[in-house]
Amino acid sequence: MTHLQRSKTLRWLCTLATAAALVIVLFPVYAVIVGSFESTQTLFSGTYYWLPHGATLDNYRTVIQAQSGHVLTSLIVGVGTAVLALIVAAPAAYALAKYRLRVTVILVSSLLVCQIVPSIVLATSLFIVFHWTHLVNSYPGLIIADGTYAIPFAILVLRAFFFSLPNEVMQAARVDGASEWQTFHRIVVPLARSAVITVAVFAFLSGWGDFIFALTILSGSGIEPITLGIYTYLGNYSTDWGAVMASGVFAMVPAGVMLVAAQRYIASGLTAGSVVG
Amino acid sequence: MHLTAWRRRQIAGWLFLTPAIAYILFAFALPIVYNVMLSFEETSPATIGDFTAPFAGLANYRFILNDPTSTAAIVHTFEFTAGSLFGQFVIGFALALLFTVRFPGRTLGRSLVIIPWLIPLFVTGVIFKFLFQLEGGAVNQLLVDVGLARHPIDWLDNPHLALWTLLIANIWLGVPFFTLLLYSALQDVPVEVKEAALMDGAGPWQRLRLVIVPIILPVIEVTFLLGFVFTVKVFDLVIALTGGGPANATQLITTWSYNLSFQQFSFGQGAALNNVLLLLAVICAPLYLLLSRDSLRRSSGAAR
Amino acid sequence: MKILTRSRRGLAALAAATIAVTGLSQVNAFAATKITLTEEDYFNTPGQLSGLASYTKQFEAAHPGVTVKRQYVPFANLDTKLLTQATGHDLPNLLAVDNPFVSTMISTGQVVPMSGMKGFSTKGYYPAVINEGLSNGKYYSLPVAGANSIALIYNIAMLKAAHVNPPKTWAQLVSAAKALTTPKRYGIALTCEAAEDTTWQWEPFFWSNGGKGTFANVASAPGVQALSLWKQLVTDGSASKACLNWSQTPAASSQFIAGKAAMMVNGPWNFPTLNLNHMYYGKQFGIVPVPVRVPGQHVVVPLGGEDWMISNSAGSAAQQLAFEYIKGMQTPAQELKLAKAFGYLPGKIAVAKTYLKQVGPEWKVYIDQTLYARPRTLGLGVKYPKISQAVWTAIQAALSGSQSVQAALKTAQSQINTILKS
Repeated sequence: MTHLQRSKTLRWLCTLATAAALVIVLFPVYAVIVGSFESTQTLFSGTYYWLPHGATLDNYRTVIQAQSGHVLTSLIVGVGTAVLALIVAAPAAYALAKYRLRVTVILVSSLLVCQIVPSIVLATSLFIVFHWTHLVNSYPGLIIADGTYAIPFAILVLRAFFFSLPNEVMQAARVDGASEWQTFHRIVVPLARSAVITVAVFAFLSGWGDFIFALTILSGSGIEPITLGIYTYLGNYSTDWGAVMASGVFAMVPAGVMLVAAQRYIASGLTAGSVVG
Repeated sequence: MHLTAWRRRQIAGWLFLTPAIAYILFAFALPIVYNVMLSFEETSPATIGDFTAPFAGLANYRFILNDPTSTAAIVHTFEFTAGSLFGQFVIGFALALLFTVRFPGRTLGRSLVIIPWLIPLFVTGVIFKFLFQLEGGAVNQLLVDVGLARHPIDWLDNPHLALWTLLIANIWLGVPFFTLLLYSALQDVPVEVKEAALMDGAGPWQRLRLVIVPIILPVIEVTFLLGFVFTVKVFDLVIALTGGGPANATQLITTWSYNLSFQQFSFGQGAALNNVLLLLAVICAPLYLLLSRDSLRRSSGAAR
Repeated sequence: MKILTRSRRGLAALAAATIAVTGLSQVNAFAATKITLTEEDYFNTPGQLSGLASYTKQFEAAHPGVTVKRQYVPFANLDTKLLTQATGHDLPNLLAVDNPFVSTMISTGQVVPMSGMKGFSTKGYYPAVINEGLSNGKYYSLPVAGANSIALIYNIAMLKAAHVNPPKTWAQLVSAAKALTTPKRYGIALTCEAAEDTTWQWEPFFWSNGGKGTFANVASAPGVQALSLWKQLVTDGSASKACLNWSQTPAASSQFIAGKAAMMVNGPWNFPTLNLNHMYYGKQFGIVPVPVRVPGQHVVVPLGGEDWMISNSAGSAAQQLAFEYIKGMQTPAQELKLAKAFGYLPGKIAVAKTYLKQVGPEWKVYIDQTLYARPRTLGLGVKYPKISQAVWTAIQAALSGSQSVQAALKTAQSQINTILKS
């Protein structure tokens, strides 16, 4: 075998390996989509059908009726988390990157520690703290709680980005007479657009997909995100697999959109946020 | 003049930080402190959230140490974390290496492989529950059809298997994280270094072990640490997939603490178990600080 | 202690301050202009849903401006949800509480006694039913649609085809279940999820065999024998191991309806669902009491049913209105209507007698045994839910194979002893 042939074979082996990996990665997603079109009888028959078997839209009808409110709730929570994360994180990250403050080292270290704190630890106490502050069962409460996923991460990612901005940019603005705040929101934030999008995407996904805080902090009716909606359906286990799968499809939609629209930011954000940390 | 400009900037900097500091105090510091206090109280449905719970001393911690389910949950957490990290690293590193080779389908593969990471954890749990069902689950159907199993396997109903099922699901969703981080680290390995190793006649395995791994070691360390922190926290997946069952066989610290607090309403006991988890996480903190400072220095050093 | 309290106030102040700093005002989920009564329950059979909905409609028509907003919570989650809400002082106005949980709800201090309310009366109820909500001389609850219990429901055609008679003893149950099992179906659908309905399903087997109401002898012969019976059904392959994820209704019941199980232990609330699926008593399904170990043992079933409770989360006007809602259900005509829709036995003795004359023979077994059913919290009160968790954990442990029957019950016994002592 010549060298060329060997490397050609190697390449095809790589393609094959990737294909195998993708089958494993994608099959569960495929199964949900197919399952969402199956009738209750089919799902209940005890046989798994690899291809759609008597497709129906019934599950979607059920789910649109039962879950569209939950989808809306999740959207509000996701967007709210993204907004909160940006409002809290962007100025802080800027200050931590560009101002020499005595608190910087302590704050950055504590942010790293915050990222480590398990959500269940926060959830138990937040439930009671929110009860004191009347935030139980409210959008602001849930968004503040979901911010715990996104905010430390957002500060660290944005800080890493602001570091890379040359100081001359800010100096030029100051010479022109801009205040500190004007410099920040007119000059610095626009320059940081890609990092801001990364952070917003992450914060949105964490608010959208949150389950633990929704489970613990929302105790009443009214606000119920899609994850909790599915949990309720699961209580009805055997009869509603089709509806559960259709809700699952809804819950995965943002992931799909992000995959297409913001792939670049996701990959870069993941690396920036974790390694530079 | 100079002094006032400096002072003005100090004030601006503090103002920029105020929302973040307020947030950290409210959403992190306050709950953590309260959690510690709670763990020394004897709570009941009537007193929780009010200011009347009696002091319990170390009773809640004593309960945790003597409660077989609590100790089992701690053991499960370690097993689950170790297994997950091992699986995620091996598969993630293999995929990362794969993607450094140029071959048809590489870009597509790289972009699709992150899908599991984007799906809400809870939904992943639901999906795997569907796939691993005893009757009518895709996995059992495949195993029986292919002839690998004679009867459907009780993945979720067998206490000796359920933790493995959970592990499979967690590895599935965690691999993209490892792949992406390790892949981007591999990108940073200079081509000359690889070529030099090739010239020396090092075989692929040696090249990997002696040349590439040492260069990306800091990233591997941080990835492991983050993976550890991430896995120790897992909750949504378990609630959706097994609910901690059957017979508490997949109860982790997180889920059992939820059960103690929110299902048995022993918030004091739940808080004590929470603190065990917090302790685990906090042990990691200095390590993490050290490692990330290292990589911070390295990356900023390289940039300048 | 004092220091702790003071520092806690400090924390609360800090919390309030940070809220003020972050500029987030408190917004509640509801901002009702007219009067809305919120109601929460776990009802999920078509009969229960339509019965409740039609009463609510009637109530709303009689009270203009009043809306009753219903919130459904799955059975396995309702207790947790109610306790969470009680802690947050955020209970709905009306709660339909599973009767073993009524004592616990009273202990939260977040529900109000009905005794003093205008038009409250305990007259005519079965003592076991009305006493569920009795605490310190005050009554906190009234039945939703009466009481119920469980029995063995079987598929007539399947039994006939397999040439077996409806089982009366455990030995007959084991052999019948075995004979009824085919590759396509199981002999019996058990319920073994991690929730109260598992304990409830097992109680007739344990209690009829000499088990104590307090479960004080759960690791002795009565418990070991009863759990070994279930274990055998699973090891024989006559009952699916997937029952570890099954609730009583709708999970186990849909197995029966789909023809994937030939028998189930279940209650009369399934009648409307069964009829909807073209299964009628005497034609498609039959009912016998839960089998006993040796002939001659008296069948003891747990007393089931839900009770209305009123929370203190709204003002006294809303509380009174909530009581009106409950009171309206306690007239003989409504009781009959609701009992039929729910598939329950009315909670008043006289009404139950009328009911017996009106309903069909499918009620015979249930009525006979419900009158002597054992309230689960009798002598246990708030301890029952904790004991029940110990029991269902043991059942799960034994059936899943993580522990032997004896070891699982021994573990439960030591937990129960601690709870009983406390």
